[in-house]
Amino acid sequence: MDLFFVLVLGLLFGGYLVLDGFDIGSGMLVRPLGRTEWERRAMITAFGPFLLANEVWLVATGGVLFGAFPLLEKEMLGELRALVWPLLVVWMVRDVAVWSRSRLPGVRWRGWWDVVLAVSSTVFAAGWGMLIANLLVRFGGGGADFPVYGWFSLLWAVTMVAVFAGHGAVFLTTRLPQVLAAAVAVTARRVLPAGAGLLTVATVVTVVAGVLPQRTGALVPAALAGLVASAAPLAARALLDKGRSGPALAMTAGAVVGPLLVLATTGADSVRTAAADMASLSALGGITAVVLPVVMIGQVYLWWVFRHRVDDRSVVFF
Amino acid sequence: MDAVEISRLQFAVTGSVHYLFVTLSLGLVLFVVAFQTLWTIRKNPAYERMTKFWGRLYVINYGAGIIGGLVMEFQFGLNWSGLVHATGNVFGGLIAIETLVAFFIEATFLGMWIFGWGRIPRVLHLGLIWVVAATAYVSAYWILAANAFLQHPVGYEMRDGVAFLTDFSALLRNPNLVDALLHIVSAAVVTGALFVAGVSAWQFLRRTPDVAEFRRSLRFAVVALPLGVYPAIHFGFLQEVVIEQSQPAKLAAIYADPERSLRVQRELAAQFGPGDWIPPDWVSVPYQIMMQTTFGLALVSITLLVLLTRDWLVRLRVPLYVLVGLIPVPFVLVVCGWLVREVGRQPWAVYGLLSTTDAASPLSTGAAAASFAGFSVLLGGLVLLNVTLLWRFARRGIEDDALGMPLGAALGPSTSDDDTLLVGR
Repeated sequence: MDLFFVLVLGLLFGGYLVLDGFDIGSGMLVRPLGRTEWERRAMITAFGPFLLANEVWLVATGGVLFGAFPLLEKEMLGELRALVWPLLVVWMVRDVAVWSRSRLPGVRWRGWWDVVLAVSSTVFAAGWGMLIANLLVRFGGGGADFPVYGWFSLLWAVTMVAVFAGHGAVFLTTRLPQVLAAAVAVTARRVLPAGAGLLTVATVVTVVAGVLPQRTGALVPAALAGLVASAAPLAARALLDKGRSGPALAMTAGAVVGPLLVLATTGADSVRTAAADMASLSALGGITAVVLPVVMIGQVYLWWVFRHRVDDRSVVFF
Repeated sequence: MDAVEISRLQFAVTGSVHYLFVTLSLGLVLFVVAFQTLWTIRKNPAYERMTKFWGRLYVINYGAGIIGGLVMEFQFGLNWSGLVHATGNVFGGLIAIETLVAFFIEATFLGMWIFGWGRIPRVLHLGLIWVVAATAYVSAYWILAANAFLQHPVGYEMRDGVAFLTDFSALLRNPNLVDALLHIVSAAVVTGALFVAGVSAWQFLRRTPDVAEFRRSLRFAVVALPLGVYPAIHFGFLQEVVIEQSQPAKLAAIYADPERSLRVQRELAAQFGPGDWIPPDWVSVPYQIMMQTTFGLALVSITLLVLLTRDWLVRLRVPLYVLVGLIPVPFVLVVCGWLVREVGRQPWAVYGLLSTTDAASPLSTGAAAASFAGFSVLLGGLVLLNVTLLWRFARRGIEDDALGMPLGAALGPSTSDDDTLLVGR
């Protein structure tokens, strides 16, 4: 049962990173790439229908963390308080920006919220990188050489900003009108190799810098997972060149999940030992097994409804 | 102030702010569901415009509720690690189920409802808002199940200071759950009804051109009001029977009855050892405010029903001013009710099981204060923003419909390149 919940937790958190990952990446790009209000609104409308459905994966991750791994929640959130608090604040700010920017017509009002959106999305991406770095350190048994906001965190922060930006750009090329998608593809082509390079560096550093002294058995799988993920953005770039943006998006999704796999190679055991009591897990497990498929059907239907490119007839709200 | 008190204050602020938005969402969604259902069945375009008008206010408010709620869940691990350690097996599970069973589905379908306007077959689109409304209430059930465990822990056994689940169904049949849920649902109906009635009244005072829509909305709300007020009173008092059994100290405090307090204090001291086991006596104030005002609302709701005859409600104008003035009242009442329930539980985090001091994380005062300051500023800004936006959109009337607006209609066709011209609504 505890293994089942490790998988559920991984599924939910991985799902969150992939799905909200393109909201985060797109959010970074709305201001720099959108030249007119129409273009910016089209970009926001590209990810708008998915936003709520995406970020709820993190809420569910939090719920399962609390319900199935209460001790892990206590330790991780507790010890990494200095990081988790700002992460929550940035998340809220990002959402306020998306929710508010189109409510009033003023050019300045919207421009200001677009800046907030770009900055908060970038910081949010960096925050996830830092969290991954710190979880790696904690699960791997690395010590005080790696403070919460140290160079190792910064390396992963920069890496995840690039990875999320590439993911967001590729997502936008799948959802924007053709002409605009072509313009965004130019940016995607530039960002993707940076993501690939940084992911390689971050993986190599993680393996060789002594972050995982207590997990020497995990070094090879961690390196493999990281390096395979590093190749994904390059594959995405090649697919984008052939005009196949859908498969390219699958590739960048793989790049986003990569760091989580690196984390899983070192941390899955620690997570498992922090599981709640069997009776609690069984009660929760029964419900999860029934509900998750229903939720998945809802999410698939959402993707089916909004599979087309944005055009003048697309409904706007954010 | 020490770190525990700051953490409590932070939870009170985030909880109240979240709760204000959520109560309005729960109430308002019923009207949206009713109007959209009528529109789908009767095909009367007035109902479509009503659905869009109230739906837009609902969605704006919903966003603020979500954003405030994000913090809630993660606060347990951050500020209340003692609670997580002792009761994570039981309490955590209920929170987890809420996110999976209710909120996950609710959020997925709400996004589809907003952006699927006119793109999804009409009956299916109606089904979406029904699911959103239903899951919102399911969500309330699970959150209250978790809260009821804090009020009156059942279905567990303690081993080495940690609670283990023994009887899941006992959690769902907690006597502190059902009456409280029905009380809160009724309060949400009151909040929604007074909001719809108040905004409609305001529109009449501003000589709205959309008479048909706001007249219908107003009549709906006035009929719904007693359906909320009377059950709220009924289930409010029913809870006192349960509280007397499971939380005698809370009842003593809200009655502000010194004799009762003394007796309960003696009993609890015998049970738990020396200490002050009675919650702060000021909870009797919010209790009285809540009770007396709701009695007042009960009278008002009947008077309003009478005034429905021959449209006196609108023609006399005075009732319209009263209705506008009543908009904030239910918000004050729900915070009062929340204070009674939560402060009335003190000094326990989990009644009789875990004290609030033991439930708190070992935080430094500085760390607690920093997080409290940060979240308070942010949530304060969120409240201001939400009220401003609700006010602007409530004032604007029906003609301007942001819900279901196509990109081309909002900003003109995509061919133009002029930034300033393109900024539409």
